[in-house]
Amino acid sequence: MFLAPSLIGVFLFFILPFMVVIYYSMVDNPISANFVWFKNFANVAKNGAFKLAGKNTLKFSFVAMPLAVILSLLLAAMLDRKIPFRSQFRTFFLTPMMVPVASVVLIVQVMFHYNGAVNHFLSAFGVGKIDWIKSDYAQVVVIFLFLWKNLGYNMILFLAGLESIPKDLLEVAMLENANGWQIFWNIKIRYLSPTILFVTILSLINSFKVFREIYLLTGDYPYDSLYMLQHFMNNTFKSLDYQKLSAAAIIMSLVMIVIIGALFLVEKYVGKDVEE
Amino acid sequence: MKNNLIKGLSILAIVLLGVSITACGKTDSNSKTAESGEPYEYRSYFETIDLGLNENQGLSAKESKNGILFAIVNDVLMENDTYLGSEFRLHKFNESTKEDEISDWTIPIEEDSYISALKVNDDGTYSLVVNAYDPDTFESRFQILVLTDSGEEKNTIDLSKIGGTGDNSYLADTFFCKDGSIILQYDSMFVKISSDGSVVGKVETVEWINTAFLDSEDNLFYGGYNMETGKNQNSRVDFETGKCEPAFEGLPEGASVFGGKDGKLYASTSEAFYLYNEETKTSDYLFNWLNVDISSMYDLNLEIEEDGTIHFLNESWNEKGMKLEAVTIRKEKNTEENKVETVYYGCNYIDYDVKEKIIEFNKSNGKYRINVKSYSDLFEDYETQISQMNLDFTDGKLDLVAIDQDNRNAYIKADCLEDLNPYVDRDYNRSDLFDNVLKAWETDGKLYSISDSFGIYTIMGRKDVLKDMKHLSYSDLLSLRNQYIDKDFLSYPTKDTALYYALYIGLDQFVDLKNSECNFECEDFYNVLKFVSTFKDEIPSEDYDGWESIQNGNVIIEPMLIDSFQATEIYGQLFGDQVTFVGYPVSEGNGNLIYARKAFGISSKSNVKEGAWEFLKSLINGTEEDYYDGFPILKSRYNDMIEKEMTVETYIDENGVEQKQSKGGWGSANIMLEYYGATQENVDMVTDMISGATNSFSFDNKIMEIIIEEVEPFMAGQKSPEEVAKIIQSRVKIYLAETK
Repeated sequence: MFLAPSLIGVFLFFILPFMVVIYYSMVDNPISANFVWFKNFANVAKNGAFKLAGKNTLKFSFVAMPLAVILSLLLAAMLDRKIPFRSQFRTFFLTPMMVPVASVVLIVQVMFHYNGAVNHFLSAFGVGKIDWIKSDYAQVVVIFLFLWKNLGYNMILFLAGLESIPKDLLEVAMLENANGWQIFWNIKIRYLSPTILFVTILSLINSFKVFREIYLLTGDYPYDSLYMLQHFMNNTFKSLDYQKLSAAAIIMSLVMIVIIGALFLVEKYVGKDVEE
Repeated sequence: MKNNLIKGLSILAIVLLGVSITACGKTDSNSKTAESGEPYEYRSYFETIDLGLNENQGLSAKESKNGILFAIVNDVLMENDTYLGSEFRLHKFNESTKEDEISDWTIPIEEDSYISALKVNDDGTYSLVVNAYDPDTFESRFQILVLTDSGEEKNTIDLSKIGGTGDNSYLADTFFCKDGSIILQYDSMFVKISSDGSVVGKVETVEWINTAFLDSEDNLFYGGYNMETGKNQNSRVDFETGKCEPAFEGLPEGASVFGGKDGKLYASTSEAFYLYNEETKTSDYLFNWLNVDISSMYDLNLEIEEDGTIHFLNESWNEKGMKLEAVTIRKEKNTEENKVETVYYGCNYIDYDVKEKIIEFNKSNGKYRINVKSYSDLFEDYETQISQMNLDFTDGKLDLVAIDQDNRNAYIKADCLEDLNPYVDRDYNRSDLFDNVLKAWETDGKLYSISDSFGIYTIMGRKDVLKDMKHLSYSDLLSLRNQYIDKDFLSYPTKDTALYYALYIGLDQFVDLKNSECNFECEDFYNVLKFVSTFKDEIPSEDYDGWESIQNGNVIIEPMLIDSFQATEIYGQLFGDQVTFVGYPVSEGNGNLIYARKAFGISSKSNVKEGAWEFLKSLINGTEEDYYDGFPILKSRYNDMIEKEMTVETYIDENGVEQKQSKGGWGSANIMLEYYGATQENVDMVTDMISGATNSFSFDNKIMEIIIEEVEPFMAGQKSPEEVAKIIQSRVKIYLAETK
């Protein structure tokens, strides 16, 4: 009874819409509404645009996500030490979170435009102009943008995780002549495993949200390497192809479930002795 | 065990509930639209006010007061087709007895003057706003003339020194206040004068004034457009402080506000009527004027009763002249007696002639009625308008929809459109229609959309250059351009125009929409870019005249849309004897492309397909009074059009010599050409062009957007054709792959 309001809310705003999506993915069109079962899924799986989008999204996620986790962990480890200007560095890395997306996109456009600042700088060294956003280098730009935006927050999460590691364990390790690397790998990483899982999942989710920046930079139909799954879904919605959209959304959510499930299993294995 | 059973049952309940609710996605074949289920509808009633006007008479100004319609009628005096002048008389039409009293005196104004406003004063005098137009200087001089009931001049106020200069010298509107003062509206200024003409106050506005109105307490409000901010703003004018304050936030653009006797505020635009809520600053849509058989609403003298009934006088024009009607609009409950089958038509813009056709259909067809849902009345943002219209059409809430290049393919893919071939075959003989045009509009053998009229995209060119060419390929285009590099080549010789002409029409050379394939990395596309690069960014000079360029032989080709005999005659005059027509590069037919002027589609889910088809038939069949907007699809109407166009009208001039009557003038900055009628040669050429056309004009806006965006660096000389083509290929390929 006490759970009823939450359950009702979850049902109305999550479960029910998802069931509508499943329904739409199994009919031929909203007018005649004949059940075609998995035909839409087969069409989507064969669709060239979907395959390209899926490939780009996975490629981006599996490059950007590990980088976001590793770099932010290293930053956190560095800022956990007593270095000069520690709090200034912390503020510096947190600042990108406060900048509105549109401003970030504007800056990136100015920097990476064909006639932008980066090309101007490179031309001083005799390097020819590169069309950063409309070539195979485009993903490099977006990964840079993603890391710049997200490192700060991940770093804060890791800093909090590092603070929660029992100090006596670290002292004992130091007394036992363990070096920095051994302490980091055998103690800190083990204790940080739930945080690492959380940051990884968050980074994975954020890697999908990067569509917002790409859309503002390049519109509905960007260059090959920037075309993501959300472009596909956005555009199929605009062209009234709800069946394709629904099928693609379900395929994407199934992949997400598999990836996150795998992450949970890894965490369970790695952090087992910590919990014990 | 018990817990597992409860868990299982809960999951089953959720799944069953979810499945049963999701089944609402399928619409029952007998379901009606949400709007048709409404218990009330606004209905209009018209009563003609017959002032006995003939074809030489027109209404200049009017005001209804105490059951009498006071009207100033302009009588154009003609003798043997010669214009002798105009006379203005006052009519007093009793709305109850229908008797019309015409003054035996004429209004004493100068020649070339007209009366734009009339105010019946409480003391029985009449205030008239007179515009004396000087045909030599093209200037207008305004004055307010006050007459007694016997036509004697009581007072004259010269307004020529009151207005400003430039845009603020032309008097756009006049408002008469209850206290006898008068407010003059200029383009961005209001001036208040007393009854003796002395200036009481002057307020300059930041915005360009679009609409203005006085409320019942003589407060002046206006809606204006700020050129700097690009925004519309409603404001109240305060003559005492000389300033304007923001007012009526949330009004639709161009709306005027009216207070009803029911204490509510209403807002009206030329297209729709709203209920305005001052507290929430929102306007609730009530109806589109078209749905109460009013083409467009410009009258600001609405009277709203306590029960919300609306009264006003409506002027409308057709070929027979002006018609004045007293209109009453009431909100009425739907009953079996007054119910008709409603055909919901979705659009975001309606042509004037379609509006007239809808009104004509609604008034004459007792079984069906077209109810217009114009999404521009409901949403400000264009993207939202289109999205909502698409959603409503796919949901089956619209029966008829305006079809354009953007939505057609999406609707076909979603299986929303009815095949119109069976309807055409049932109600027409194919030989009575331009069947090749209908076939060109088919997709996979089905006619998903139809238009009552069409035009032909073709290329006009110099005969001595094009000789016997039937089609113009891209390599021909580039070769010609290189040969005539010293000439303008096009009438508007800029890179943008060249790109537009080259791609807008010939895009299917690079894009196969049917198979979702494209190839821009080819010699033809590089030729297009090279062709475009031979033109300048801007026109040669500020006083450049494209028509002069054609006459001087500097224009080699002119891609154009032919939708009238006038167009071919006029351009034929420009090119002189040196004109010929060639088609675009296509695999079959003569290369001339058929363009649907206004296409419609019927929803495959509609319950009133017959009603929608009845309306489309009324468009196709037309009437004798119709104005031809493009070539009619019905051959009998096409032949009527030829007969009308070939009839040369004449008149006798002041020297007694018979002269040809011009049917219209076409002009540029330096050239004026008159059209007197179509020649047999012209008619035969156009008819051949139509008969030989087998392809329809189609283009994809999105693809064009991508190309125009990516070609910019090439036009600026920063990228090569190959680099640009590679990016376009990548982006367009994705776009096409999505639709596969």
